[in-house]
Amino acid sequence: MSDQPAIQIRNLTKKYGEFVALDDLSIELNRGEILGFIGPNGAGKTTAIKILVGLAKPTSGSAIVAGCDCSKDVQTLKQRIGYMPDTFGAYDNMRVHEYLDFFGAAFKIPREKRRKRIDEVMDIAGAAYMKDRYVESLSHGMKQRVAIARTLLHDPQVLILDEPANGLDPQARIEMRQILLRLADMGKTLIVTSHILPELSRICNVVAIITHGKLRAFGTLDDILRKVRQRRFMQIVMVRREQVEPMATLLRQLLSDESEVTVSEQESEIRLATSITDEVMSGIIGKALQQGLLVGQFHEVPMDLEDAFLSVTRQANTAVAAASAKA
Amino acid sequence: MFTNPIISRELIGMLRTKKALAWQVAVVGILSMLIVIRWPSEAMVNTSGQQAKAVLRIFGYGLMVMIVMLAPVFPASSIVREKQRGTLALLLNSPMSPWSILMGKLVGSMGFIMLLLLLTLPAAAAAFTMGGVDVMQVVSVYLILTLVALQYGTIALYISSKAGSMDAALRITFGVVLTLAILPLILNEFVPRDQPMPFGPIAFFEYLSHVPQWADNQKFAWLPHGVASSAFSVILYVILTITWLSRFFSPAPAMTAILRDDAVIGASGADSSGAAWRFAIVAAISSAIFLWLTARRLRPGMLDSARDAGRVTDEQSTKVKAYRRFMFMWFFDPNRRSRMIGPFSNPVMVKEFRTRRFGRLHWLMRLGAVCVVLSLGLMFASTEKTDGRIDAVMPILVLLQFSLLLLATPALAAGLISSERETGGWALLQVTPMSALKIVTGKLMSVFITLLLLLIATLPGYFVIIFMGSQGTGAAELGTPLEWPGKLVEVITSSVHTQSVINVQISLLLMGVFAVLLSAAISAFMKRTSTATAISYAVLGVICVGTMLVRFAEDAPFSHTTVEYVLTVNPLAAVLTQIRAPMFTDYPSVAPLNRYVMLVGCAICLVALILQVRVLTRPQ
Repeated sequence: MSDQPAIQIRNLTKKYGEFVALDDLSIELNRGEILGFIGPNGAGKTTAIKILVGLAKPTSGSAIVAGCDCSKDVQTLKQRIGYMPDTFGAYDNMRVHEYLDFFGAAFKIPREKRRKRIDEVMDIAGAAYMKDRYVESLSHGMKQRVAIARTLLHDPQVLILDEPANGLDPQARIEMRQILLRLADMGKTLIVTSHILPELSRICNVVAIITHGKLRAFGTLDDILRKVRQRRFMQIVMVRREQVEPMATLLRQLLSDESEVTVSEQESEIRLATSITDEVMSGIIGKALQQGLLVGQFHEVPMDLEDAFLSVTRQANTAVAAASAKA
Repeated sequence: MFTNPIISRELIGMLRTKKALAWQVAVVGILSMLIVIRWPSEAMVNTSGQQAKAVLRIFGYGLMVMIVMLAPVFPASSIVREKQRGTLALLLNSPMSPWSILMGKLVGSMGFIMLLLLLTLPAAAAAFTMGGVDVMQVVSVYLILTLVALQYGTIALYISSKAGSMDAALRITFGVVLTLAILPLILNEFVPRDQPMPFGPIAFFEYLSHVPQWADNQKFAWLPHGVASSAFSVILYVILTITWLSRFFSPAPAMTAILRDDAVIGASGADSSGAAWRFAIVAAISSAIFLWLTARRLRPGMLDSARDAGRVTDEQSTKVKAYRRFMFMWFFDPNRRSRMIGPFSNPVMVKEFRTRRFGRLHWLMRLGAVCVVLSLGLMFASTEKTDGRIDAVMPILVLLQFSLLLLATPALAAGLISSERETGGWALLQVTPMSALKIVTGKLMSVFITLLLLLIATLPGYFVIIFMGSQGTGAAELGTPLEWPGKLVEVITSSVHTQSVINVQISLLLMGVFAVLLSAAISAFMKRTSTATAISYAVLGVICVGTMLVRFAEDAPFSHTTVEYVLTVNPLAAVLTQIRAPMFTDYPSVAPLNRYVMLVGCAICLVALILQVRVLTRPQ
């Protein structure tokens, strides 16, 4: 069991009539890894998650999570995964410990063990102080903590968390990040979806980018950045604001058509997305100086997950548009 | 007023829905059928106007039931929906005044009701042309219906401004509205036509002076000495006061008076003089009061509520613990940390009890206590009023139980599945190892147990009836306390009323099970609890109250056989025939057939519920 990947998804496809929600998705994830599962709205993330937790059946392909086939062995699967959907599922008029007691009983945890387990998971989620509070009176951040505690109750091997940081304030987001890292340290495998990419890039070992139901990029963050870094992002800050436009004109003249030049006169700044080499770039700067254009700062902007995501989705959109135009 | 943006949004939005079209078609269709059935087709025309009067009777009562059931639906969800979606804060921060928001909401939701009433005008005109109907009668019917819509609409708006969720608003509104409409008809049995205003010191002392005479009365001799003159006298006084006040809130006496329905007036003994005026004045005043109260609530402060700190007794001082232990008998303390769910309990059932607003043990005990007191109080009061005639006492107890079932069941069962889907809880239940059967069983059990407790709590009144039925057999004589259990069995077996009480309870139990399964099945098909609640009340209202209209139209236009046939679906009619209540003595086949109808209905609803839950739990 320990040698096997915690999650094995092979050629997973889900169709709703003619609409392909998920197209040939293949992913492998090892124990203790955190996968950042990202994609624009309607990309197929929720469909993939629903298949992984047994709420939907794939049209073809297979998914094995914690040793269980997601479409055949659903009852065992439920004991081995913890699912936190993007809605909390609050019950009115119920205190937090009663809420957790209900889900513990639903997972058939014996009464004495359940009592201890509730205290444990509330400690892990940092929710111990809200034990007696009514669920409906909790803030969004508090509810997310309780939801994490609920997900951990039956000690699952794999956790699938849909937008755990959504709507949290910066402090709560940092705390949520710490909780997730602690869970990974405990040997849990996590799949986390989020639209807050800088946050995700801080905790994920592995990233999967999905658009239009298709996996566009998968691997460690460095791998993905290397693959998508076909263009470099430069920032040029001019000493004089009035020289911003002449500098931009010069760049447009000297650079190829594929390069993008964006001007921000307010900040005396020019942004450049291009694939030219350092030699060509230094020649351009030289020419600018010869023409009396004073460059105050010139540097390459390091690429992050957000840039990688935008780059991948842009390419995917172009490919999809081209395919539909052809059709 | 029509520049008010809320009116155009609410009314036009409503009129665009398919639901609105369906209502309009249904109203026009049913009334057209009524006119077609009753339009004179014989060569000889009856000029006495009986046919037109019969049509107007069904027309007036039918529209009244429709308005009572429909008028509160839209306003009840109107404000609370805005609150839940967060748009109320936007409205309150706009330059619109609370009154213009309120009037927008009122006109927007009442506009549709008025449209439905307008659609009924051709049918009213047709009834008028048949002759024998006074034009003022028709106008009065419409005026009363408009006032009913206004009164219940404003009550619903006020409740909507107070409620925390849409389904809670609907439950409370239907509870209040049906209580206001039906309860006075039951309580009216106790108040003489010339009963003066019961409050004020002179009236109270005059009332008290009668109590010892009642206590010494032969028919109350079975009561332990001293009881009749203290606790029961207070209960009777409270009932008398509530009755005196409540008779002005039900539109039924007003409609009866306008339609000059001698059959109903004679059967109920109700006083019809001035009933229409009384209702009109009270409706207008109460509407204005509820509007004012709602306008007072529509301020930004209404969204500013503190979060419950959730303190539990377990962590409070010994003094507080001792106080609460005394007050709540510890076992029922609502603030005591609850026990873990036991190994043999269905977790869903426990969860349902805990999440229900009045589902906790202390509330169930309070509810039970109220039912016991109400049952005994009604028994005592009706015995006083009817000289101990069981045929007059039984219908009152039956109506009490029936009203409780009718009001409580949709409120408890219509959100069983839909509320889970609404809040996202259904997906969480699906990823637990619990089977669909266990989930549904737990949910249904939570409702059945509550209803059973309610029914049991209303039984003491029947025990008194059984006891009275055993008098003269020797069984009723009290022996030593050790002999009481044996005596109790003897009393039950020897009483002449035992069998009819058992029959009534079986019918009510069947009706309760049917109502639960129907509401639960509707809940499984709906995504919103508010819709499921409204539909459940409407369907049960049509089955239990709507079919009664056919009884009032016996011989004009419906034959005795048709009436008997229609009443077989009505569990209330079945119970009333079993106790041979006035107007229900000639339908011997209704009660036995109704049991089969209820069983078939239960089976259909259960199958629909199971199939739909299987669909919902199956992976997509």
